[in-house]
Amino acid sequence: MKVSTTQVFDRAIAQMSSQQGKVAEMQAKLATGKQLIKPSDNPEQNGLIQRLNSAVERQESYEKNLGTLNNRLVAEEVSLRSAENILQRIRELAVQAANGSLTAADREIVAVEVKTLREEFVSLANTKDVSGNYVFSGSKVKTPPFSENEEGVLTYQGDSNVISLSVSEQRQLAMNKPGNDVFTSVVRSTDAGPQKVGFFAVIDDFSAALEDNDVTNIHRGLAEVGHISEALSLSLADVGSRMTVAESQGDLLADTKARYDALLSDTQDLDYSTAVTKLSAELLSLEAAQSSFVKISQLSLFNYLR
Amino acid sequence: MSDLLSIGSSAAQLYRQSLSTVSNNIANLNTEGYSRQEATSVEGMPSQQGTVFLGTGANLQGISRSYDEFVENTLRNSTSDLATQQPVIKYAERIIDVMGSETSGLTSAFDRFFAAANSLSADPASNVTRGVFVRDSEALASRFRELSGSLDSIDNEVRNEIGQEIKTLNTLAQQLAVINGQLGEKISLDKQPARLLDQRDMVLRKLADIAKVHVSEAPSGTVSVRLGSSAGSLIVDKKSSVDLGVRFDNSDPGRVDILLDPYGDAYASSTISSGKLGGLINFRSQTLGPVLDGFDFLAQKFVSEVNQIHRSGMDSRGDRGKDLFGINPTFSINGTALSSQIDVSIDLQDPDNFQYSPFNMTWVDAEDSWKITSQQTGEITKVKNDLLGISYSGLSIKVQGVMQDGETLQIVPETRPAAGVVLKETDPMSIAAARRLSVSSNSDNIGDAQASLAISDNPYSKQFEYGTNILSLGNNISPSAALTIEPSSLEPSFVIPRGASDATLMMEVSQGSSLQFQVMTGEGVHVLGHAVDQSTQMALMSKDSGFNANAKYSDSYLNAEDSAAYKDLGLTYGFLAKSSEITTWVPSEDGTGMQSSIEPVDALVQSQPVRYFDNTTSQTVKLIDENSLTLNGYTLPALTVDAGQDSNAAMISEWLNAHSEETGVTSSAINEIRVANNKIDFYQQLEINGVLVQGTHNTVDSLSDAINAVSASTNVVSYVGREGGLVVTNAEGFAGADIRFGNPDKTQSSNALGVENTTYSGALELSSSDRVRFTFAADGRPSDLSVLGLRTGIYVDGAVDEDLAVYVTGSEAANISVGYGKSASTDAQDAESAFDLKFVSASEYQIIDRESETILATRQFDGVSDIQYRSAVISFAGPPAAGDIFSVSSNVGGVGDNGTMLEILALQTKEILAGGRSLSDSFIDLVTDVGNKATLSRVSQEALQVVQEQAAEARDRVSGVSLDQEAADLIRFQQAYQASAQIIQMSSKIFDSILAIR
Repeated sequence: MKVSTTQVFDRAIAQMSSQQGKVAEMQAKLATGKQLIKPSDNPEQNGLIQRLNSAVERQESYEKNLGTLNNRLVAEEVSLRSAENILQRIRELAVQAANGSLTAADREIVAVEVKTLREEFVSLANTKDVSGNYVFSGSKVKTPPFSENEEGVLTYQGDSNVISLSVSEQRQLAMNKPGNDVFTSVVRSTDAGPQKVGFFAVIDDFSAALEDNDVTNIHRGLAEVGHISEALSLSLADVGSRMTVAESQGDLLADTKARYDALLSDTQDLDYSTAVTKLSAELLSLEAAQSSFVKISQLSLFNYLR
Repeated sequence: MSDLLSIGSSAAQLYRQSLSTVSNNIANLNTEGYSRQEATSVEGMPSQQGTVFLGTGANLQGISRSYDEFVENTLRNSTSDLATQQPVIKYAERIIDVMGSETSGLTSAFDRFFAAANSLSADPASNVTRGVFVRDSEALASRFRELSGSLDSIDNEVRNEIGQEIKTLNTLAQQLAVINGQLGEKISLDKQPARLLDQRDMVLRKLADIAKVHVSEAPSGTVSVRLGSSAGSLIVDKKSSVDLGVRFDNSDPGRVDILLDPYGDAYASSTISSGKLGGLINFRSQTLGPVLDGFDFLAQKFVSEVNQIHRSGMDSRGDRGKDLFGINPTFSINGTALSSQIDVSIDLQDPDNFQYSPFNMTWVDAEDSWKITSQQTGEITKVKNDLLGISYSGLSIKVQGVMQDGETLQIVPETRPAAGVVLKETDPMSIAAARRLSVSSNSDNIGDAQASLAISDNPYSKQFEYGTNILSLGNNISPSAALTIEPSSLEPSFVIPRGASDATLMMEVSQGSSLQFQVMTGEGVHVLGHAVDQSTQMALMSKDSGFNANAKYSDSYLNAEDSAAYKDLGLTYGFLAKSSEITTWVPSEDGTGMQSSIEPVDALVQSQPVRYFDNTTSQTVKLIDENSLTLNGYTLPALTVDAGQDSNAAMISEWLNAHSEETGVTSSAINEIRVANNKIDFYQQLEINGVLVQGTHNTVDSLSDAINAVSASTNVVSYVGREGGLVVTNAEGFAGADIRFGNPDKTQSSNALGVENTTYSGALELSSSDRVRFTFAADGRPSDLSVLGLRTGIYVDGAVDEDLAVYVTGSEAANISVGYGKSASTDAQDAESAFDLKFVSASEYQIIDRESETILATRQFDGVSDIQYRSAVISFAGPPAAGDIFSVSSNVGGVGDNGTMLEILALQTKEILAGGRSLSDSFIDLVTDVGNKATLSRVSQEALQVVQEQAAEARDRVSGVSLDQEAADLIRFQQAYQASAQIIQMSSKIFDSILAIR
């Protein structure tokens, strides 16, 4: 089968240059440490890498949110704990005051302390977090939750909206508890039927009862303070449980992120040992092609014509 | 002659020529397209000597060219096939590199955008997070634009390359035509110079690289070339070549039209599917086109989804959110005679309706309108001129300046949707992160329930199934335009839709008819009609699913008025005519000019003929009971007809006027019968009120005179109307009295006037400076109004913000006419009027509109399901107690609310595109698709490479020069030449021997 001379040369050159191309590609991969030099090398793999990158960024974004959530929860917890302590104190005072052995003057002294504690409550209720948002206002974070009018009546200015944060693709956690849920009201049965009495109104009524030396109302105050104290403890427990959930979510996120990172590395990064082996194989075949070409191209009948 | 010398010399010559052929082959070793030449020899003609033939040596027959037509053809075709793949791979990889990279691809921009949204949702009140969100949104918008720009530049490059290839193809075709001309000079192939044939094959091979060609060779060696296959377009024939041209379509990037003779007849050529050109065309239509379309679709979908969510939210100022992103196409405007005085500006108003195709606008002076022709579909629309902006295809086009009749403007959208994505809200405060509504528990609530609110994206999902939308009917309230419908208590006959304003329905009611209207809201509130028993209440709400299944029937607002009315709307069931005002121009007080003055116009009603009743009994008969009709708030007493009397307009008018002071309505009676000229039957006779009209007549005037002649006894006069025709009416002082027509010939039912022989009772004219408003009291029914010659109507004053169902109940068919004013958009009302949810018991609640204090609905509550009203969906944690009130109102002040931002965040993984793909996924799919096509091409390329190499080898085997072979031939011919030289020498020696003889 006749092979023309040009064929011999052309074919050999073509094979050598394609081999050189492969060697250059391997070299580039080794230099960058990545399996893909450009996306068009393997579009499907590139798509996978992009998806994984997005997933990793999402996890980071959720972690950031968890950080913000934790700050918020810590602020809530701190003020609720102080509030709990204050309520504890008020309960003690209530028990003390309900004791028949106290005189009216004693009770008035107690009333003074209750009034001071009440002021502390108001400032605790109007806590702000690190970003300057009111913690207990629901979604009205720039409005103080409790404000006092001229008669000293405190009304709740916030709303009942619960703000949720995305902490994972499927999960949202509540960031806050609205003020009226924390500083709850009690139902007081009066002659006019059941009536709703606000948190601060309970304390105000109690201090009024102390000043008036009204034993029935002092007992009533004791019971009501007990109710609101229970509710506050519930809120505190709720904050605590939310913090636990946030922590476990954080662990979960860290795990997920580690998994994604590993997957990404698998897909994206070059396996050096196989790459180097491949490179030596390519180099070998290039050398073989070159030396065989030199040998074969020298064979010609004209060499033997004098 | 058979002679040693001549044989020798011819042989020497022959071998010399063979040697030069061999050396020619060696010299042309590296010439492209060279086919190996061989000198062929032929035996010389033998010479006859006696009975013996002696050979005369050998001669050069010719230089043959080693050439196999079939091998050549195979090589050409495999070259074409191979060349198809390369452009696809090259450009597909370009696209993947641009779209799939981390830095220039869309995925990373999406990730940043959603990460910013996530941070914003954690602290919506902070201007810092808002600023970051605005920044990353702008980054996303500009990434869309950049990517679109990159894709556009790839598009342009491909176009340019196609143009280049076509130019090259044309040049080659012209060259081939010249070669054909030269070949045509000789008749047979073996006489053609080999070099010319080599050139011809070279050109053909280059042609095949560009596009697959079908070559048919004539015996003389000339070729005719067709594109693609034997059925393709002819581009080169024996003498000439045809040029190719290309045309692109801006609005359809995949479309490439190849034309033949583009500067002449320009007709379409057959498809080119192979070769470089074929590869480029395939790339455009199968890869680039879908990518551009898919990317544009992605951009449009993303923008519309985000905008929809953003518009339903509230920004940090408490205002309703507007569009976050927009798509701004730019346009190029060309005109046939575009003078500098014409200014055109185009805005995109409705992105969903905009078709990205160019159109022409032609000014039609006579009709003061534009004739708009779409370039893509050819559809023609006529649009009336509007200086504020013509609406077409979602655009608002303003043309300022004087246009000539027939002048055409050509509007071409320059940019694709994705290239026009912009961020519209750049002010961080205007980012709508919060929900619009919030629910709060009233501080007095005793129950433990915590309410939470979500915004429904389908607030008006409940619509009435039955009932014709009145806006789809003609706007004509007169009785002649009435529709006839069957009554039904189960399904509404009409629906007054949300947004309709000043809706009116009027029904003709005859004597004794049981027809009634009932109007209800979707929550079962009966606003107009008559009180119905319980089974009818259930029936009304039972069939149409437009009623809320949990709603209870309520008649608290039935026919209520003014501040007690449902939502304080002005509703009337009965008859209503209002006074109005007109503005006139009067001389101004200081006499210098004119000033406008507003004059009130009284309400004026002309009824249809009143009920005629002849009381032939001996009792007084009540036509209208007491406690039936109320006029302007005053309940009218009974209308009675004494024994032997009859009811007529005059009598009824008197009855009404007796109460003018209380009602404010004055009435007068009129009885007029108009007859057209062509209805008058001059052959008949006429009796009026029993009195015979004398004489025979053949003109209207004489008939009229004859009627007037007996008017003293009939109290009826007549005159000829302005447009001809006869008008018969009461004489002075007898206004409203009955007019009875008869015919002395009792066999006839009609008379000279062409009307029936019966009593005509007249009509009422009611007027009031305020209004004429009839409503029904407890015993009133529409048939009572018909006694007064009035139709019964439903009137809605102003616009309604919810659908109202209108029932026509009764037992006979009804004729109903419909009228309405200009519909208002209810968007302002949709800004949600605040409402309260009041629980009257643990299982029943009321929805109360806070502004008008109307109970909009009374519904059952099962304790678990969510409550939806309009766009608010409220769910409870814990049971509400009786007396608990939950208020739903605007969320102004709730700057920390992140509800809307959470919804935008959900778009990241929400499956909003076909096949359950999210935005990011869909983009990656686009890139992967291109990748698949590139891989396919690569695989094909490898296989085709092998095929092409084999074909090249086969050709080389036939036509290629092998140095070894040539070296062997050299040796052969050299030896032969030496031998021939020896022959000559031998012949010389022989001759010497002859010469030596003395």
